[in-house]
Amino acid sequence: MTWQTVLNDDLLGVRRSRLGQGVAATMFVFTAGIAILVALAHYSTPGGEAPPFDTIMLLIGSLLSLILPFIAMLGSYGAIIQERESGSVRFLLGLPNSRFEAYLGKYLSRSVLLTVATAVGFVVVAAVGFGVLREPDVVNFLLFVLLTLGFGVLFVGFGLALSAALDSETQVTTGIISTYVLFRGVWPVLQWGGLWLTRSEGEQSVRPYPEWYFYLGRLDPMNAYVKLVNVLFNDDQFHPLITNPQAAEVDYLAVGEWYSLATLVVWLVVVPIVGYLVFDRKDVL
Amino acid sequence: MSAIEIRNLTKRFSTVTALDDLSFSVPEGEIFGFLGPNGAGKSTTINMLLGFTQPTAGSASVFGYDAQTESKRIRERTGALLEGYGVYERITAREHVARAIRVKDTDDDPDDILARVGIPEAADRKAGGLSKGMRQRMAIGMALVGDPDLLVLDEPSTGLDPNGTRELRDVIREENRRGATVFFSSHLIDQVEAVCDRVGILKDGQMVTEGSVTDLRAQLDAATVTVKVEEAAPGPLLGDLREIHGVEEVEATDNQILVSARGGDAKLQALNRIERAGVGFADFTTDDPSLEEIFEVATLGPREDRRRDPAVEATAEGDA
Repeated sequence: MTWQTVLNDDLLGVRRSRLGQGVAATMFVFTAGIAILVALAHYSTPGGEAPPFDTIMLLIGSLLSLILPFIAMLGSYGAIIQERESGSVRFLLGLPNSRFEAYLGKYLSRSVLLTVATAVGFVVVAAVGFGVLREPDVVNFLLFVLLTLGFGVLFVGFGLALSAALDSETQVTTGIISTYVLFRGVWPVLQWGGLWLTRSEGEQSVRPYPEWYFYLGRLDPMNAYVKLVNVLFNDDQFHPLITNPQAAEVDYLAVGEWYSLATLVVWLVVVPIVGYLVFDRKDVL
Repeated sequence: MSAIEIRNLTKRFSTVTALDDLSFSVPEGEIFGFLGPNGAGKSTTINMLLGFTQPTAGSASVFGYDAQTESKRIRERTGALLEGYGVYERITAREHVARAIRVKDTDDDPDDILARVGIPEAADRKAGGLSKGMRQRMAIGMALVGDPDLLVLDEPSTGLDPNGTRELRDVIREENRRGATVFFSSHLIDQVEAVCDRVGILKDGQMVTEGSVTDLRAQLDAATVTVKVEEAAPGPLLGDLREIHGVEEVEATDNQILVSARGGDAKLQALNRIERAGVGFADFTTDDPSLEEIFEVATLGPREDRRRDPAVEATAEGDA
């Protein structure tokens, strides 16, 4: 299968590119870097008690919920559009690679780039977490690693789908920024807009919120990820990045971890497929 | 069987019709020259042959495989050098060729290929740092990987110096002798004339002329006789010459008379008439119509028509 060739060739190019190296370095900084800072802080204050494992993991997870989507899309947005703009797509698709093989190879390559960079960072996090911090939890840590890798690949899917479906690098760049703004900025506005439209004046922010508010809110992959990190390391207590259910709201299906997990799986699967279907039918020259 | 079969192929980009009901075929084993002015639709045709773009209507097939649904099969048997390709800047020349070898799953040696196209020394250099000519040679090398049954070459002499162009012609002939069909697209007529068995001339998305170079010459047939004379030809002589059956055009300068005529008889009569006129006949030459003239007539119309219609001439110059 030639997707393996595309995968290997793309990885070679990415490894030699500044962007690829930058993506890897940034991921390392936001995982290993934080862990190293925490360890340094601990050792530089003699006699002090080490911070709890869960607190640091919650911090890293919360930061990653903001940073990882952007890094992942940066690492993948050029995968196809840059080949079209540079003309090397005439080699990529002039050689006997099918569109599917080219797309799959690119998807895997960019996923490997991000996954390896993240995993290497997590090795350092684990060293600090299990060597320095209080009350580490192996199972939760492994779940966190899996969750985070999946969350990263989900946004690799967004970057690649946009790269394959749009027609210029400018469009794709706009696309990834818009995707980020959509989930980080527009989504809460949609939720508030919904309340504003469906409720009478003065009662818009009265709790409990209707069920749809959470169904919509937790459909945002960034919210879904924060929710799951919060379950792993904060016993699902208050978290500043998401709407925390109160009273009757805690019984909604949408605020449960399974809804969030399902949300992530759906985005993870659907986005690259939609991107491929558009790519498969389009004129690339 | 035809190597390439194109039937009623039409491609429209929003408002522009790039190809308009184009049909032609290229038999296996032929070197076919695909000529046309810039923007005629040559690259569009190739892009559809190789599955980069989808036809608006009609179909294209290569070795019986449909270009839309069996594109990969086509590309397995094709080596393509496409105009407007870009190299992978950070990948070496050897890695480029090796990439083609791996995708095509052949046992070629990248270094042999690079030697064949004359850039063995570039193997370890990143393609981003290669000169235009070296990149072009590398890309030709990639097209040769796996001894393809069809070579599609779109403006292959771009960036090559005269030696490179000559070596390219040798490679094309070698590949053809091996059994490969060659589809050679160019706007450079002498390149095509030097190697092609048959040519097709594309204009505004339509095939305006198709045939062997010899046939096309015969169709056109009007050759120019240039006669050197010692005195300026008097007006009545030019009038007489124009009267000769088969003479299409007569022009004169101080010491030259140019007669365009169809058929040897007309040319001979013209020469006799000039000789007898006592203007100091010195020498004469004739030229057969070159492919360039065939091209000119096919894409711009006969010269006399253009002369009569200044608008056509203005457009032609604007395009050039």
